[in-house]
Amino acid sequence: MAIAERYASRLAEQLRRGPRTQSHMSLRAILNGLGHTRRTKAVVASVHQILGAHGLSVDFTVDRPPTLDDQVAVALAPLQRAIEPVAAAEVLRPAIDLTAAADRALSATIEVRLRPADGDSSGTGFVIHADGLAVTACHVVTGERGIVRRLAVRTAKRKRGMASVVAAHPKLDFALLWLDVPGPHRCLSIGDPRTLRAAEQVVAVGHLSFLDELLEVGTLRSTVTTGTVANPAAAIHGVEWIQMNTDIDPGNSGGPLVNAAGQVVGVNVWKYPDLGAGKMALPIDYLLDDIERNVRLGKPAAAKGWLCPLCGWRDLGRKRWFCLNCGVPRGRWQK
Amino acid sequence: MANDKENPALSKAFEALQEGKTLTSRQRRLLTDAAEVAIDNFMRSVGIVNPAEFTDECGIRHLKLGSAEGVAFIDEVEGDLYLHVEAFVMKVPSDQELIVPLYRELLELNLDIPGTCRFAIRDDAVVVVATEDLGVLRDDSDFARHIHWVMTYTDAMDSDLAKKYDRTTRKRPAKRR
Repeated sequence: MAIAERYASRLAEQLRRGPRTQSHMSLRAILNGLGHTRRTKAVVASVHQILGAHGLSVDFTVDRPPTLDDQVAVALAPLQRAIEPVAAAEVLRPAIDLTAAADRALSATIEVRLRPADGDSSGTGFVIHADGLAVTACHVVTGERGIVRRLAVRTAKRKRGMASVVAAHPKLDFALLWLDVPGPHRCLSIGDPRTLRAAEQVVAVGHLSFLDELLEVGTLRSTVTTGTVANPAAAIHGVEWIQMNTDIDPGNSGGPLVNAAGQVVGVNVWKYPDLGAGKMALPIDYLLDDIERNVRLGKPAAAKGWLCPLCGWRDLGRKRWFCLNCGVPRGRWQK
Repeated sequence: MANDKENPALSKAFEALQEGKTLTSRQRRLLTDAAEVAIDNFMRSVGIVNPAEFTDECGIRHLKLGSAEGVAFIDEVEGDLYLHVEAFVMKVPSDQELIVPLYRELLELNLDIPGTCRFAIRDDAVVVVATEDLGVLRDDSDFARHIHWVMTYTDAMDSDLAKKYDRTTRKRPAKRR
């Protein structure tokens, strides 16, 4: 396994540094590099998994079983490419055990809090881009007058600052924010929630809001809970949730759900009260389009446009008097 | 409420309300109390022994019928008194592909709903609501009818609407990109 990890890591590094983001090689060369001497179905299937963990996508022929001489395209996954110029140094390498995974998740976790004028909601978030793009739950950034545009954050290094909400989706219950706190920030690499299996171990990180007043100054405020996946795609009201038994307490909302490789696979958002295996996380792949769009727009565009406080849609176009997505009159809600 | 022979002050207040005269604060209080008693009488008639248990500190009565949850209270708007009954249907969806057809369907449903009951949007929630001037609510059965309409209509419609619209059009990618 160490050989495979080293090879995949080197391959990813070459593509990141090199002029091309894609490379063609034979399947034989890849299998040799990963330390396999034989080609079996399981071995071929593991190529996706191992390289995928390093942010690489592998393109096989799909109309027939691949042969050893098939040319395979290995490329940086689009998201890795999008964030690469700024995030390469800070993207965390996959971990191999839960404690290492938890350490990495803790280092990228932030505390999110509404300003007193907007309400008293607080929760957790995590950084997924070294420039300071973070993810949290939509209900954490929702105050008495809907989704807020600006809120207070505190990073894992205990730096305080403000952040701008740039996208939100109340139904899926996620929000994206750009941190004003200067980077580079420690960020989590994005895993593939499709590969989660029932009974797989996961780690949830969050801030317990009720402990805020009790903890002594300087104490680490994030807490970690571990558990297992009960159902990797529990369909409820048209959304596939990651159902698990990992504890989520008040203040944990918006925190990362991390797999054993230290990659974020979900956003912890809600739970059925009194049900042991009734905790739900939103699979991170629901957010990929929004993450890519906001990485492309960049941090300088964070303050641009109008964010609908009811549906979370951001209007970057010309100034309209109503939300083009849900129709709410802008004047009634604009702060 | 109008035929309360035992309380001439209330009868007088009701007459003043019907004639559109300016009500004194005592008359408003009398009318509001009588209307709240009428709501409580409805709640007793459907099996709630002690309506006070379902009344909050603002005088709002909380109702439940099947999957429908609603409220009934007496509202004062610019000096006029209204019975206001409202029940929650669902949250407005977040995707335009669902919001636009939902809005149209609600307007089409409003076309056919009899009485004062109609669909409406309050902030981010779809609700069924009925409002009626206290001056035209003559007895307990008038109150009961409005409350009953809202609650039964919500109970009948909420699951159908939720099935169609309480979801998202966003899809997860089939494979890792």
